[in-house]
Amino acid sequence: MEVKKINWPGLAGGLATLALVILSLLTHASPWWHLTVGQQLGEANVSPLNFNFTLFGTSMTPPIAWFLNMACQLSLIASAVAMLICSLVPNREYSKNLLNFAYKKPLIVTIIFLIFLFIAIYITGTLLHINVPLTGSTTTTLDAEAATIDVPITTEFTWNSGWQ
Amino acid sequence: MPETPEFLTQPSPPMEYVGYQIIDPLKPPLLKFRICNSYSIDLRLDSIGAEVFCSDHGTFLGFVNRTGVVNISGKSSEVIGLTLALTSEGEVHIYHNHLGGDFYIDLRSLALNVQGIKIRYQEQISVRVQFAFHRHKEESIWKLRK
Repeated sequence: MEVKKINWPGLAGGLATLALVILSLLTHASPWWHLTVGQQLGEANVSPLNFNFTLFGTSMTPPIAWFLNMACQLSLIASAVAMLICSLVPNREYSKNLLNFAYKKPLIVTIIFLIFLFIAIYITGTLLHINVPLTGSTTTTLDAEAATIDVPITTEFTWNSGWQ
Repeated sequence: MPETPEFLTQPSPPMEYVGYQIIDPLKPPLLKFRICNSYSIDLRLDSIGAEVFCSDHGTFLGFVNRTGVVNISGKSSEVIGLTLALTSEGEVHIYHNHLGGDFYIDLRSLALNVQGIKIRYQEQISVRVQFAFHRHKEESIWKLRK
């Protein structure tokens, strides 16, 4: 391994990807998308690596979310390892193939996350009749047996919150 | 309105009328309700209010409400007192028709605010109360009437 030939941007990218996965697994790092029901009555924290939804103290995680999180975590780990190898030894014949495999994965994970989010919002609106905005606030009216319930729902991409 | 899944319509906490309490004979009685929290988390009741009508005559009597936050622990219930505020017409109606004896009032448009979630009950709640206005209060109502 020659230090001169190391692909430093690739190495940084690989380490950053690995750090993202490790931090998300260890600390449940901040979600990419956040949903709040009422005033702390329910909340959802969603990212490609983590998903948790609690409503009235009850935690609910659909199995598909768990499997998607697992797939995204494994993809990013594989991507990070491949990126590190091809950055450290860029002259090997397999390095180009590793780079081709690795560099797309974070983008694919981001796209899968957005598609999952859109589908989840669509299903919630269609099957449960609850309109959830992609970002912003709304009040959904539920028709119970003997009561009408107005539920305020607020959602945001978390990178917005730092700029407000 | 489309039908909503059952688990999403559970937030309406069951309310049970406990009874009334006459604290000050010059004032209307305090209406006591038991509110149950069937969830495992603590709930904060921010406000509660309703319109009050005479069950027998349908006369609008005033409002009940509760100011101040009530915390209901998870898997427990809390008895809350609702203050009854009568309108002048309500006082006159009670003075002429129901003073001293038990009678029923209807609570309509009952609304609760639980941590930002507003619950509006569609059905009215009929409760039995008694008004024991003090003699001086009766006199003041009598003057109002004249």
